[in-house]
Formats: sequence, C-alpha cells, structure tokens
Amino acid sequence: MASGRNRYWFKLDNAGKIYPAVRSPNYASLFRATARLKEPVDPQTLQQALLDVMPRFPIFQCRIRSGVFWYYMETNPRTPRVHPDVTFPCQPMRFEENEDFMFRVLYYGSSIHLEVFHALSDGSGGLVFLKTLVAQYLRLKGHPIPASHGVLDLAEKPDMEEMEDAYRRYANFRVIRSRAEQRAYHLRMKKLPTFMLAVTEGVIPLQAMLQKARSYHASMTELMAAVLLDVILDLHRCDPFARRGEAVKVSVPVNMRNYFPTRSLRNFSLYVNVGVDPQYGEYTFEEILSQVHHYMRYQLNGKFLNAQMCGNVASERNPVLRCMPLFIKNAALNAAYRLSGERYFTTTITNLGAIDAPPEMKPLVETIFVTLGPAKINPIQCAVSSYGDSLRIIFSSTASSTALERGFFRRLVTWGIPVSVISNKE
Amino acid sequence: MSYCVHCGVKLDPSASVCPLCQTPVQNPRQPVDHDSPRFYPPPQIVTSVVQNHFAVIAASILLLMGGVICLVIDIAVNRAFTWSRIAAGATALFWVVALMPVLLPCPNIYGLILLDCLCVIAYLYLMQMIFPDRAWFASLALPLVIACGLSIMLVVCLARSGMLHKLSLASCALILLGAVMILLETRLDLFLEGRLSLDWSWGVFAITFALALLLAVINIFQGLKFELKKRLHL
Repeated sequence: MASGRNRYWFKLDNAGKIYPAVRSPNYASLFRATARLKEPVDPQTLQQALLDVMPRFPIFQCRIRSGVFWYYMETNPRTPRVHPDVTFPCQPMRFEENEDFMFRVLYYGSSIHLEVFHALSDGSGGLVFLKTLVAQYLRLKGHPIPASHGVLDLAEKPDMEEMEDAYRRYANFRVIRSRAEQRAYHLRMKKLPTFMLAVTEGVIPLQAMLQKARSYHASMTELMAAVLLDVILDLHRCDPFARRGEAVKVSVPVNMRNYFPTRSLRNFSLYVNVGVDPQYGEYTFEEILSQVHHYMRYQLNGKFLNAQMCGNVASERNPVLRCMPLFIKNAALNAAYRLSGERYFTTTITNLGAIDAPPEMKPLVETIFVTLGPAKINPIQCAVSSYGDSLRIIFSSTASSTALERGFFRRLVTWGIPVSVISNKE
Repeated sequence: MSYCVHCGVKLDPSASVCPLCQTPVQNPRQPVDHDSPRFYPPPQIVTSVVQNHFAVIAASILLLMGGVICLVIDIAVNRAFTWSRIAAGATALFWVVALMPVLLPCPNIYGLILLDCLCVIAYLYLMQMIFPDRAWFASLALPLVIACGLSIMLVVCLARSGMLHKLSLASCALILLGAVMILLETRLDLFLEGRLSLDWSWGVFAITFALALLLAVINIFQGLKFELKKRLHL
C-alpha cells in the first residue's frame, strides 16, 4: 500500500487475487448487503450521503487495474452514482459501466443495496460501509445518528489499519496446511436463464432458533449447517447420477477478525468445509449435527486457521507463479479455480451473526442483511444474519428447482419454528 | 396473513403462489394484495450489449486488403481479372456469411439464411462464368443450393417454434439430410450421365432414416431416455 496526496494504490489481498481472474462478462463474484428502511428511499439524498461517506473509505474509492504480473487497485478519480434497482440481485459488474468502481449502490422502494465485488471487501467490510452510508442518509433526513456500533465517524481520517491486508500481517508460516480434500457432490439442477438469480428469504424468530440450537448443545451456525447437510443428503439419495466417493459438504466462511483482531475493511475470511460421506451409510440428523459440531470445534482455532491462511499466502508467494505475466496467471488461476475452487463443497452457508446498529438507527431501519451472489459451479448459496429479534436466512439460487430451500424451511416448520417466506420470484 | 397449505410457511401478502412449491394461495379472508410495495423489482433481465465490433471491423479491413491485393496483382501480371475474381469472390462470400451478421444490430435469421444462399448462388454463377466449359450451374448447383437453404430454413423454423423436442428436431434434420443426398445424386446422375440410377444415396438415406427413427423412439420412451442419459452422461 502506498499513498501520495490522498491517492493510494494497493496490492490485492490474498483472497481477492482469484476473483478478477475468474471474472467474465457473465460472471463476477459479488455479494449484496441490504438495508430495508421504514420509508421509501430518496435517491437525491442517498446520492449526497454516498458522496459524503466516500472520503472516509479510500478502499472503496478504488478501481482495479492490470499490472504486468498482478492486478492492483488505485484511487479512482471519478464519482460513484446511485442507481435504481431494476433487475435481479448481483448481476455481473462491468466496471466501465460503473464509473470503474468495484461496488454499486442501488435503491428500490424502501431498500438500499450495496453490491460489492469480492476482490474489494468481504461481508464484514461491506456491512461497515453500508451502515455508515445509511447512517449518513438518515442524518441528512434530519435524524441524529451517532458514529457507534459499526458506523464509522465521517469526521475522522481514514485509518491505515482499515486498509491493511490482514492476511500478510498475521500469516506466521509455522505450519502450512494443504488444501487438498475429498471432492464434494454437486447439486444437479436445471439452471435458470443466464443473469437470473432467485432469492428466497426466510424470516424466523431469533429466540426460537437459539433455543433449538441450545437444546442440541450446538451453535446456530452448526445447527443450520447440519439442517442443510441433511436436506442435501435427501437430494443426493434421489440423484441417480451421484458418484461414489463424493462427500456432501457445506463451506462455512469464517470471519478471521474474531481470531486475529484487525479493523481492516478488506477481505479477511477463510472457510471450513464440513460434511458427511454418504458412502459410510445413512446418517440421522443427530449424527450429522454431532459430526458438524465436533469438526468445527476442532478446526476453528487460531493455530489451525493460521496454518490454513499460510497455505493460501504461500501459493501467492510461489516464485514461479509470481514471475508469470498476468495473462498467463489469469489462465492458470482460472484453471485452478475450475479444478479446485468449488470442488470441495456442495454449497455455502455464511453466518454474518448479529448485525448491530446504533440504537437511534434501529427504529428507522427495518432490517439489514446480506445476500450471496451466484457461484460459478454450485447453484445455491445461503447467507444468514440476524437483526434485532429476527433471523434472516437467504438462499440465492441459479437453479429452477426450490427443493433445497423448501426442504430447509420445511424442517424448521416441522420443529415448530414459524417461518415467513419472501421471494423475488413470481 | 396466508400460509402455504403444502409447506406450512407464512407467505408475503403480495404472494399469489408459494415461492417454495408453487402452490396457489387460497385465503378467502385475505385476498392477494397486488397494491402494496414489493421488496424486489419485478423479475426482468436487463443486459447491455457487449460491443465486439472492433475485431469484426479489423477482420473486414484485412479481408478487403487481401481481395484488393489479389485483384491488383492479377491486373499487373495478366492485364485482366482472371484468377483474382475467385479469390475476391470467396473473400466477399466469407464476409457476408461470417462477419456481416455480427455488425447487424438485430439480425433476422431467415433473412440471413436467404442472403447467404443468394451470395453462394452468385459466387457459383461467377465460377460458371470463369469456367464456362460445362453448364453445371443451372442443372446442378442452383437446385442443390436452393434445397439446402430451404432445409436449413425449415429446421430453424421448427427449432424456433418450440413445437418439437430436441431429439425430434434432430430426427427431422436427419431425414432432411437424407433427402438432400438423394437430390444430390439425382442431379449428379442427370448432369453426368443423362439418366437416373440411384446407388449410394439410398444407403445414406437409410442410415439417416434409421438414426431418426432411433431418436424418435428414445424420445417417446422416457424410461429408455433416462437410462441412456444416466449411462452416457459425461
């Protein structure tokens, strides 16, 4: 990272290096953070709020550029614009049509959406930007909102720690863990037309779900991963094309900030692929949950995660890879992603946890949540977050079948947990 | 509030069907609310056209240069357009068939097929003018190009109408291919020998017809189709 007269350039962080290489006109790895307000959004005020918050987020004021050997980010002299949301979430981002920015702010009805290219930031960083933007929007509307609970103070200067590549800071290279795993079963479902993304939101009382998790002595992430695995196992059983030797696994992203403190707004997450192998026989739900619970407790500690992080950083430091010109590197990374990127998991479930906001903001904002964009191979992704006393489970799918979503929510209904469903499908 | 009778989930007041199982919502006490604001924009795909004209224009300029160079060399060496007409005509034909459709904003597929056929006919007529020793154009080339063009148009029309399944469409295409082969041999026999004696084209027609029949049978028997799909999937 270097700066001069408030102009910055950054190397892409370790996790972000893969995304520009696998980007295409029909695909980009994006996620969407949404704030649903109690009143319809005023586009002019939102545009002003965006202009106000941009100086506080130099990392978001960046565009991506091709170097000889790597992509890099540099300060973008242009001004971002808010756009109406007129189509499906997380459409591929063409930077040249977006003032070269790697994020876009959309509005529809009472919703404000922030869509972020994953090379720029992860869900945590995106949520900080969104909450600060919404807080400023509400201030412009005459509501005094303090800079607390994840809302940054616009009067402060940007902190260098917010722009750091925390992978480089924390990777200690004591042990390097291999990334090789058993390959996973992939859902075979008829695809929706290109660019379509079906979003299904399930809204659940948080306390009911917590109570259920406690009754199983598991965390909520473990419980939901287990339910997802159980439903996928049912689909696997009915799939005549399922191959032997493929495990049913879900990828659970881990927010590394919980283990290695940093205020970085850039990517700082890893993942744990947890699952069961149907070759060993039939699993009861309790067995799946026990497997998930113990595997995650075993994997999720600072030392293991650091070894995994070192494995990723080490491949980026490989001298052969570093010397390759960018166009060869892009082809190599693309091939590597196809061979191993999504090969080791069937679907993704990310739990953003409890999304906090200043108490003054809560009566004005109905909910804040995150939606995952489409993946390249796996058709269905799931994001979970809670705001206030409701838990929101959001499936984003490029498949025409809703068997997985239905199986998941049906299981919760069978347990007596009420589920409200909203979808963008008609 | 309405619940899905099939899934048991609570539904949004604006939902007319359950998004999970497509079961219609039937609640006499609360009809579907079409007026309240939705959480998502109505489903529509908005895409912008990716301009790839630069490569096509560059290729067109290269082709034009190639054609002009041929003509210039021919006129410099032979003082007349002899062989260069074949090269220039082939270049023009390639441009019309392969490059021109990319430059059109919204090309009509039937118009393009018709234009391609006309260009092929014109090119073949040019060849006939260059090599006038035997009158093969009217008796051989013209009927074959018309038959091929009509067959392609028919297949495209069937495919676009969506009336036929992929396998049935392939059956039709195979039968048409066999028929064109019979026509080819008929015209060749009449042109070369002046009499009709069909030999090899029957064999081709028999093979294409058998394949078409096989595809039709697979299409009819879903169990067979499923088993084949299972065993042959890549």
